[in-house]
Amino acid sequence: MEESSPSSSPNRSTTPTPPTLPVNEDQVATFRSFFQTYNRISEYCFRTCVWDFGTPSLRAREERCLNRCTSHYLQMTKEIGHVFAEGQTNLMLGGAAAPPVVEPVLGSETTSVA
Amino acid sequence: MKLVQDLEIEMMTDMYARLTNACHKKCVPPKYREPDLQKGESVCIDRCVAKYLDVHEKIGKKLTEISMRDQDFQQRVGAGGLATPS
Repeated sequence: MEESSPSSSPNRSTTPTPPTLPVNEDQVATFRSFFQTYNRISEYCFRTCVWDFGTPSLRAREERCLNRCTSHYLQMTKEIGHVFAEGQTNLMLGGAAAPPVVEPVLGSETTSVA
Repeated sequence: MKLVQDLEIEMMTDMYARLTNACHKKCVPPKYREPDLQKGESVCIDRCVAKYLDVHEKIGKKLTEISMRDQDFQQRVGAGGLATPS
């Protein structure tokens, strides 16, 4: 396995290989969503966990923080997804949490009195 | 194939924008005494970019590992009950 410093490998691929190549619009949308999440996690965890710029390579503490940060973020996304889906279901079924829907009544326009 | 390439370009462009933002925040304090980049800022940016790419790669591997694990889990569950790995 070749070892090179991070700053001296111009051809290093940083994108993970997806399990299947997208061939239709649904898969493209899924792929795009995956990449957006990936980029967001990278940026957020980098900002939170990396603080030592005295060296070009990651410290062990920073790596541990990155692992935890990634798992945390993914679990948080799942949790948000569940709660959001429940909330949406409640809204559609007109549950207690649903705000009152005010529908405009057609044909009941009255002239405004000044 | 072109779709994949377009997606990859889109992803790399987004990653580049985020990297620029992050390294600017980390390495360039908002006190602009002169228009040129100082030596310390230059060195910081160089290391920041190297570290960001490293982080991006590691997180990519972790995400692939997690999604493979989820797929395995779903396959095992779908194959008929929770089969424990031997």
